[in-house]
Amino acid sequence: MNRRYALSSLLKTGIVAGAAAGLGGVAGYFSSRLVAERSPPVKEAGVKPIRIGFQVHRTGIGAPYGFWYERVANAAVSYINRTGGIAGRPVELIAEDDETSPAKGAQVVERLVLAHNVDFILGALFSDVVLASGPRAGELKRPYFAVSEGTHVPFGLLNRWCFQPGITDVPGQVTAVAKWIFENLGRRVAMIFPDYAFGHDHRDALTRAAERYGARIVEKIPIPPGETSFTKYFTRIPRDIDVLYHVMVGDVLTFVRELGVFLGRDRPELFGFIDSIEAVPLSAPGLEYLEGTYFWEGFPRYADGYDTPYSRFYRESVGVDENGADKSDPSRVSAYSHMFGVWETLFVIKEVVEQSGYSEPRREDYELFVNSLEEMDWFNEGLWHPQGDKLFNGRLHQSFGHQFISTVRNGRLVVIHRTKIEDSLYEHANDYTKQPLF
Amino acid sequence: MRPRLSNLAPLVIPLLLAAAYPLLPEYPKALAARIMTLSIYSYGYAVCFHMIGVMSLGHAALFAAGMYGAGLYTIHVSPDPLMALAAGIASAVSLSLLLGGLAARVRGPYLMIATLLASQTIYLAALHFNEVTGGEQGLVLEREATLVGVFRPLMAEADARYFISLLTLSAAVAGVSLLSASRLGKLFLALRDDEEKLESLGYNTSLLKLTAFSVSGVLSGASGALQALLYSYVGAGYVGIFNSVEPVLWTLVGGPYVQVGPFLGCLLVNVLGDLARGLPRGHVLVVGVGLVAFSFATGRLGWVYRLLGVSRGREE
Amino acid sequence: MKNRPLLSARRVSKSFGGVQALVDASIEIMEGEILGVIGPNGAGKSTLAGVIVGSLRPDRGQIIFRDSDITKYSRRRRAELGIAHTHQIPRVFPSLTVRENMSLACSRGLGGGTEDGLHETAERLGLGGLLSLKASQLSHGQMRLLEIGMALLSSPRLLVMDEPTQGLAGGEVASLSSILRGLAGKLAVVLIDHRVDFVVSLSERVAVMNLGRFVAVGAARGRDVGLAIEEAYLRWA
Repeated sequence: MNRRYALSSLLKTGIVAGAAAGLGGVAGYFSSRLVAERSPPVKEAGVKPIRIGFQVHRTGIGAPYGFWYERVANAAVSYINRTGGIAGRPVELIAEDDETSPAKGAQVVERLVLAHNVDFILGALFSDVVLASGPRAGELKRPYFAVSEGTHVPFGLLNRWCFQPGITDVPGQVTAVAKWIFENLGRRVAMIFPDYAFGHDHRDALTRAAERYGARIVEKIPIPPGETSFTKYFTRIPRDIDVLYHVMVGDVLTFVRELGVFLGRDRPELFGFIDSIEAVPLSAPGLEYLEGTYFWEGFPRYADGYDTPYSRFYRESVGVDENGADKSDPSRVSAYSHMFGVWETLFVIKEVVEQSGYSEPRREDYELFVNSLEEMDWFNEGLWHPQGDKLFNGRLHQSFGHQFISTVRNGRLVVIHRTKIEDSLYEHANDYTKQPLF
Repeated sequence: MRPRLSNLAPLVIPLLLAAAYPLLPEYPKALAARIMTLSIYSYGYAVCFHMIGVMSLGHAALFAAGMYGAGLYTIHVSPDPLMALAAGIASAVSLSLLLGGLAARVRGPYLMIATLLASQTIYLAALHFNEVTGGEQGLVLEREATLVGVFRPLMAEADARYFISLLTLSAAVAGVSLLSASRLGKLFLALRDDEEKLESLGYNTSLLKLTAFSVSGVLSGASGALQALLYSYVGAGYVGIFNSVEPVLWTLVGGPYVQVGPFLGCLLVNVLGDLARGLPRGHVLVVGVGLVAFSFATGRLGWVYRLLGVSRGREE
Repeated sequence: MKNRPLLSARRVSKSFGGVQALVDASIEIMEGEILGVIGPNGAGKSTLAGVIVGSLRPDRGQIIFRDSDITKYSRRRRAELGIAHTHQIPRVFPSLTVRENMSLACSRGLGGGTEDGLHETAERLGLGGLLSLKASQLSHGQMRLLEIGMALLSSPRLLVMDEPTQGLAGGEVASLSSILRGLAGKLAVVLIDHRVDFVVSLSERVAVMNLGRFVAVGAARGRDVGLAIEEAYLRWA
């Protein structure tokens, strides 16, 4: 008479069976772990590899970036292994999907350290994943290398075990390009930015730069995350500005189309960050309005934008064509302005391991490693650093480098300026070297 | 209907976990600590789901309230982890009264949607007030201000984390076991069985629902607060729809034995998810496949309605 | 105080969709009396029970309980006033034991039901040996008795019993009769049942319903009632 009772007896049978099977599985799982942990790893010809854990956005919102980050990491590791490895030891890359989720990201760090005992962790791009992972890496005493551009590393939100030597951060990028903007496009600027941390970094850095160079940010227009229509925000753009500065805000095709309709031909100069069209072909319908506007690029998408032997070698190694797309699929545009950071980070690890004499994941070796890395102050341009040379600030754990300014001409990006490193420097009180390492 | 000492038998679970501690290798140890923290949330969910038979799809909001409550207290008020834990629980309980209020007014599928919307509102609020909450990017807590930081002079962080989770889990298991043996627990079951009948015996069923939700809020909030205070991070990534759906599976898989089921279900699903990590979105897959398999096993989706009492005949 | 109305329904109407279940129905229930309500299927008996206990709201009309208008009172407030209900299909809490079911009913404290009272009631209903059994394991008849026991333990002033003999075996009907006889004078009972002999033998007054109206109200063995019963059942037989 009572169906609920029927359910609960069904549940019981199912659950008892399930629980029995489950407990068996759990026991098996833990015992297999036990065995795996206890038995010594098989050594290949007596040379123990350097194990680099790789927290990668294979799925989730970061997947388009993760695809390229993984491609670059594999290319770099393959090159390193072809050319003698790190300190004569082969490199083993242990990649795990973090699902672009902070919870899973932190768990991946735990697994890489505790289950795989990796020597170093090559970390993530998305800020939330980096922020959730950094504390875990710090506690587990394993160097964690973000390739994220976020301010969490330089501004001291993380800890002594977190580094960002392979890519410049947003304040560095903005400080450098702002000087060029004010000198070449004009000093009355309005800015549109997403209303969350990434956008706030832009807002704060551009505001500071404007003070330094005597320019004026006349209007700051934050756009809430998840917004799908932008015209109502465009009404706040003053008429008498020289430059409209825009940063990644939602769907770029809609953004550009609505901007085109709103501003028309009689528009101020437009300066944007490539992030909004990273991995998006410029031939996408609606992007024609970007013709004649300017963009920051981390590393030029089109091969002629920065043509050096090193950049050619790098482009070849990661399988990207002259137009910045996948060689085997020209419709798949790469994350060219960011992914080089993965390449350069791996070579920073190589360089510091070789200089410091690091050999094992243990206290004295990490002391050598971290101290050597913090004493680094310069990375030379070359095969290891194809994007350009970099100044490294050991107190901030952050690199400062050259930035590229491009304009859209005939539907492609043409580099018109490369900033100096000194233009990107800023002051910050953070000093990771004061934190105890252990 | 007075709880007896024998009602505390489920404490064998935390005892086993304590005994297993020296045997576990490092990673399973860390995973076990994580699962213990999460299973407190699972217990919180089971109080609503199994004890009063209310299916909420908004419990992530309670977890989030605990997490943000503890995190923001630490950052803005004072770096005292015990007070932060209390603050987290208090904010979750306040929010649980709202969800409980919904449950007292809305039934069945409508309630699922209402709670879902409530938790999405919390999610959007976390994004919108990102200057305070850190939005999607989240906030990092100073290590010294967290629970593991406090215990650091005494023991290694990994040990502290394991035993703090264990201690809290023990409290949750004991609390839920005593509750289900108590008169209040029997009233919860009666409410699940037949709300109208209970009402016609003169009981205030709305008040009972509010009570169940606030118990649920204490547990879910404690779990969220522990996430902040043991793992030094709070962020909107913990507040999505998926975080509301996960405990549904945990408690379903764990079965109706509310004293042990929430832990066993959470353990099983998370260990399977961990094993499936090689697959794309491994744990999402495990949850999805688990729910579908479970639905078929119990007669397609009938279980939802049965648990909700939707198909129950009335005499008119 | 037998002649004072405990509850009156005044010109109560209730329809479901296009079907009129109660049409301007008025009835009074005196303190301590057993009022039988009989009538063919669809006469409106269960609807009458619903509007008295509060599971249904009448479209028109009033329900007065001891001089106060309780038409808009919830089921719970009516329970607090002392109105109890047993259902056509017995409703108990299947997940709880017999003891727990009864305990929840008396520990509400509406009329001082105690542990002793619980045992005594259980014994009287023949449930004494089943106290530790889950209610879901009871037979239909036992569930019926349990529900009655729960209603009695809440110490009601008015007990509305909807088809209490439905599904009961002959012996069970007999013991139910003796229990109800034992209640005489202690509380008012509205006894709704389709077994005419059962109702007539227990009630002081009988109300005959048909098509949503009271067609006759009178002494159980009176002539009016007898005719009305005949007519109602013949027409619908």
